[in-house]
Amino acid sequence: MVKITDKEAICIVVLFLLGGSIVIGTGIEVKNDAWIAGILGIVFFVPFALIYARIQAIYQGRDLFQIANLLFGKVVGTVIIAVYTWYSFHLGALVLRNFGEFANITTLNDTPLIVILLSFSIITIAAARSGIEVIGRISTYALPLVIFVLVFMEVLSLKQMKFNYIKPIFVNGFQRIAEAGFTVFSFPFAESVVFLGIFYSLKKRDSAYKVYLTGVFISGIILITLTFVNTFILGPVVQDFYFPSYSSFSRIRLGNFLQRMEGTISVSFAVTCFIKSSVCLLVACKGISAIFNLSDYRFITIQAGLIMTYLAYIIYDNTVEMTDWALNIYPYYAIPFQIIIPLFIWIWAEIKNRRKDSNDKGR
Amino acid sequence: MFVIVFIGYALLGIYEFVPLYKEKMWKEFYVNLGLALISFTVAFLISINVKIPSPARQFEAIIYSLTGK
Repeated sequence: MVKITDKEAICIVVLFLLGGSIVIGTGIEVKNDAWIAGILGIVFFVPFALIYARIQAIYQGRDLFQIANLLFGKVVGTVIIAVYTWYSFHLGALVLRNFGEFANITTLNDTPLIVILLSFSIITIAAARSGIEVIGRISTYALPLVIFVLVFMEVLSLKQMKFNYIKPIFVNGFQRIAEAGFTVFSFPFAESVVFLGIFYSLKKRDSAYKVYLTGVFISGIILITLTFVNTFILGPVVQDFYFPSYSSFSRIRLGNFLQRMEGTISVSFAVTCFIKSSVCLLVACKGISAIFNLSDYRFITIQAGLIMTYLAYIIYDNTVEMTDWALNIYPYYAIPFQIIIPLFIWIWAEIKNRRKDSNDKGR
Repeated sequence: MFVIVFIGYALLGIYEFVPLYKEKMWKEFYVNLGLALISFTVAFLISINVKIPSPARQFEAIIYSLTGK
């Protein structure tokens, strides 16, 4: 069976959580309080990270699809598999669209969106077809690059930062900040529920705890730092930008020789979105193959990847709709996938596990 | 545009379905065929500029009706 190391898994989680969220920003609806929303998002997510890790620890070596069948039987299990297959499929399409829209608006203005999406999906399909171990190895090389680019750009933009933009703190009121914190919880942190579909490949029983918590901690630091930078550079108008990080870094001016550096940040956007959409496609394909009991998920990766690309193309009419969906609709849409069903699975898994333990002791 | 779609899917068909057919992996063959049909239909509709309704609208309507926003 395919195995990945904890280090590879952490790198995949970090890149996955950064994909999409560093492109369109997190918590920007509360402007200068977005960093508090980021911290709240992490705080809200930690209990769920423990729940996801616990599910994986109870059923080590099995993926979500096998767990659903084991816990709930064929019929309910298949419904849960179908639900998660749809979720990862849809999530992959949303990420593809985020990056496609970004590339279309900032760089490839005259290129039809479908061409950008198809070009991007070719590497996504190739990665998903190669499997989780290849995605893991790519991630270990890609994460240092992504972090280096982000830190480098943040250092270069120090001169443009106005630190007083952070004030007044808590001006948006706790309720609005908590709502924004919930948005950060659902996009990106709780999206890591899809990892239940691939973390069967972790080597040790307790690896899932380490991977989830370390991954969330590292990506949380990166995201909150980026939120600070966006607030310090763009100030109260941060909400008016479709791609705040890109707009922040476009303001870098060091003399007359170092400017227009925003293209560099696109590398990080591309890498993170690529890893995220590959993971989503992989989980979706595993889900489809679990429903139809196929011998290998690789047979259907190309067609599933193409359908995901077309879904990404038809899902929104424009960028405004995309941002509105990500910030206002998605947090509610994701509640069943990220909160309700995992809670249900966890409670049922604990009950079954305890029954099994007491039966074993009784013998 | 739709000519490209036809050619692309014909090539994909040779690449994907011939090995499955030769290996007699019928379950994989038919599931892949089903996905290919959906994929081809959508690709063809996009190529002839037919507007396909987005599933996001349906979810949006359900969520607005539930949250009352």
